[in-house]
Amino acid sequence: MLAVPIPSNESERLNALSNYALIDTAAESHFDTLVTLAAQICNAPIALFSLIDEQKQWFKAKYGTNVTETDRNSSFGEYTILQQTPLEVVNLETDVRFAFNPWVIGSPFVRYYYGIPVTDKQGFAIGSLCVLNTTGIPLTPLQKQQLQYLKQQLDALLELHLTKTAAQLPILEQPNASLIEERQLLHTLINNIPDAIYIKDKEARKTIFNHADLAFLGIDNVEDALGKTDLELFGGEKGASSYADDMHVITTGNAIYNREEKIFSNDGSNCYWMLTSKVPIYNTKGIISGLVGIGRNITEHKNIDKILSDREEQLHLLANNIPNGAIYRLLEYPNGHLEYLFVSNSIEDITGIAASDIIKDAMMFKSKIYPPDLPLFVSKANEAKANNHIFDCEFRQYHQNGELRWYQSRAIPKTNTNGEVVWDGIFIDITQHKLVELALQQSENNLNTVFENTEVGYIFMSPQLAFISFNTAAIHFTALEHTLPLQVGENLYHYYPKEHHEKLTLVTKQVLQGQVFETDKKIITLQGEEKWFHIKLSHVANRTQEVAGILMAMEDITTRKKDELELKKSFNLVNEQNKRLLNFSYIVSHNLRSHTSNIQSIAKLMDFADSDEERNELISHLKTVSNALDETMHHLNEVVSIQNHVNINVQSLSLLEYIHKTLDILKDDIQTKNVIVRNLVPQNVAVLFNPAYLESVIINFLSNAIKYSHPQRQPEIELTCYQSLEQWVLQISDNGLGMDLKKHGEKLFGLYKTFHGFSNSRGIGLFITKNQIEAMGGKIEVLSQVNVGTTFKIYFK
Amino acid sequence: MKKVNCICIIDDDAIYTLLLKKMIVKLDICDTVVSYANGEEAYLGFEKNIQQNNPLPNIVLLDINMPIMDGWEFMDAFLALKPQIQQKIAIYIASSSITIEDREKAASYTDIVEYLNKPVVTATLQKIIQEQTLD
Repeated sequence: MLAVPIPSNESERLNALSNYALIDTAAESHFDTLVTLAAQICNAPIALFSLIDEQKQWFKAKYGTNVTETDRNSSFGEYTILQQTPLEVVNLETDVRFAFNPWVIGSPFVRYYYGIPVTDKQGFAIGSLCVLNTTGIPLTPLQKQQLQYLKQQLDALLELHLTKTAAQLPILEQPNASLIEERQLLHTLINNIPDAIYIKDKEARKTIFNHADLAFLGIDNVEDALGKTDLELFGGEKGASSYADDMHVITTGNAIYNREEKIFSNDGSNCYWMLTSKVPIYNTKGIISGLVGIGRNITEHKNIDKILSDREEQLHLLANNIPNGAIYRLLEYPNGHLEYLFVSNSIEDITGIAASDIIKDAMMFKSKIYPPDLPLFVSKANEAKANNHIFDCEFRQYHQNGELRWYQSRAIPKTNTNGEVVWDGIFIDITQHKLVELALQQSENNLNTVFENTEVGYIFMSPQLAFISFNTAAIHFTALEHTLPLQVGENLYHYYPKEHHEKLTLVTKQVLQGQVFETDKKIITLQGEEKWFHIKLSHVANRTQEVAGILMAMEDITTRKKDELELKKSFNLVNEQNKRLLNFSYIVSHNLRSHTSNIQSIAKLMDFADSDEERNELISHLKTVSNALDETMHHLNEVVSIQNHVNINVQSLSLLEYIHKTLDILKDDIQTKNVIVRNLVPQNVAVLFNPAYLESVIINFLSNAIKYSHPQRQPEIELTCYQSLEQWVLQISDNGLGMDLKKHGEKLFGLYKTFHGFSNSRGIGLFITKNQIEAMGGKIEVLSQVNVGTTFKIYFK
Repeated sequence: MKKVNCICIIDDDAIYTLLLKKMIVKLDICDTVVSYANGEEAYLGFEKNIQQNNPLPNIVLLDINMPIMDGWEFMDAFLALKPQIQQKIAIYIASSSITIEDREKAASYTDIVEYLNKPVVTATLQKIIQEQTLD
């Protein structure tokens, strides 16, 4: 739509219009009658008397429409007042000025306009008298003439109105348009604010009140509240107190401002907090005519306040009740100056310094840090600042009482735009914790020292026997036997040959079930040395009694083992000695007694002897017994001398040399019996022996072999020598009579044991020989089969 | 003085055997005295007598320590022969051994009457004869 052109004399025209004071006034019958006549004359459905204000077109009188005004842009009259003559628009739809007018494009769809401008005496146009139709049929000249007459009538009415208005103005105090507008605005405003607003007369009766007040009272109809006092509206205590307040304001003129009141609803279920103000109203004569009140529901604020204050209290409690700790906010200025914005009071409990003193002097607090710990503290703080991450430091600081304590400080730095850093943090006394930790560490170090310095090798393994940790001794022991070094992650299985794996798995299973496995193990070191180890496998459980692994302890028991073997050997020796002693007792009890009993018998027989001849015979027997006794004594001497000469002269002797010597002594017997002697003893064999014993031993065995040869075959004797476990062994085999060792084994080397019934068997040789060999630290073994032969093995030390 | 038919000495000590024989003859307590030098000889002698239905000795004085077959081995061999023997034979151990083991071992044989210590004196021989001629 085109912008409406403004008349050149607009301000004068508006002034002229205001003189009439017609805008927004009530309808007046004489104006209404006039437009009704206009419509009838012109046979038009709509007739209007419109006034053009600065902003709008207002209809003082109208026929055929309920619309009281339109904006100025939508007016037809606007164009009418631009000219002094009537404006006729025959086809509104095609006229650019009106084609888009709301009345043309919309209801009532007018098509024809005819308007006559209305002017004041000076000729300023204030409005128009017009008719509109929807048919588009133009007015006839007669109709136009008649409408002109009606316009003259209108001029007269306006003249009259002007006169009347001028006369009434001072008396009527008619509100002007802007005042009305202001009132309407106020009205709208008052009804749309959430605060209850009311006016009461001087008897405290409600005269004016808004929707919020009604809602607050819980009343739907205006009439139920109008003219009532609070005494009637609320009743009870609340009503009485509120009414008393009203009357106090009205009678004294003292206003009540912003008083908080707690109000329970009539049924008591709800509770409100109201902020009430009551101010007296004075009339023009300065007398109190009532009061204006305003009530604001502050329940929600009140609740929020309560929550906030509760929270603050909780925070306060929290800040001061951190166990062994305090929270703080520290401001660090770019120049390094520090200022505590907040410190919990509990700081005093852990440092002995009051929070207020710290806030007063932050640098003093920092100076308490134990100097050696300060560099770490500072570097951590700088790092936290630079990377914007959490500062966390454990350090020592002097307590106010001079004691050095451990503290932990954790804080988050926030750098603001001024380059200041705000540290929000917590300060904790960790002295107890730290002391325990240090003690633990110390004890762990001690344990480690013990672990590392013990002579027992320890390997801690997983249940699958993977190495977890071990000590130096274990490394050393492992390196003795294995080229594979001991290292974490390696497995015990790799140190045992495959054929032992099954046994190892079984042992592991038993150990994991809680058994302790112990064994003595002989190893041959990589250098070929023989060593003994005591191995102990036990399971290690953690605190929850779950198996954490297996502990293998290895102890070098080579010395102990050697001592043990030595002991066993000496025990055997003692045992042998014991046997010999027993034998000796046999000799005493048997051999000596048999001689003495014979002498007794001879003596007895001498008493009964009948003749000298018999007596001589007995004496000759006595000589025999005496000789036998002497021989027995001689043998005993020999035995005792061997037993006694523990430290007898020992030399390195050539075995072959002594064999040759013996064969030479026995050469007559060898020739007589036609013995085949095969001497396979090598030349270089040297043995540590007493010379006399060695000769005696070899003679004994060889002469026995010759003496007890088999009568039905040519005797053969074979002498060989070999090494067994670093010992020289002389083996003498014959193909002679042999012995039943099942029968005689035990007695073979006993004194006076003979097996072959030969008259010259003395039963002394083997006994002496055995004693001699054992005195030299050797031993003797025998293999024999009747009618096959005998083999003696002499082990030299 | 009562007499038995035959006393047997089994001992490897020739002097002892000779002297004991003399003593027995002097006491006149038997018709014949036989002796063997060891258990094996005695066993073979016994076996031969059984085969030829010759009488066996009434009393045996048995030594323990002997070569080839000692007193204990002879006892075991004798027990093997015993089912073939009709007459009663009283065996006495006569040994110079004083070990308790030998005494206990002797007690375990029901066929051994008593364990005697050497030398066997005339009183012992007289006591044995008395015991063996009671019935």
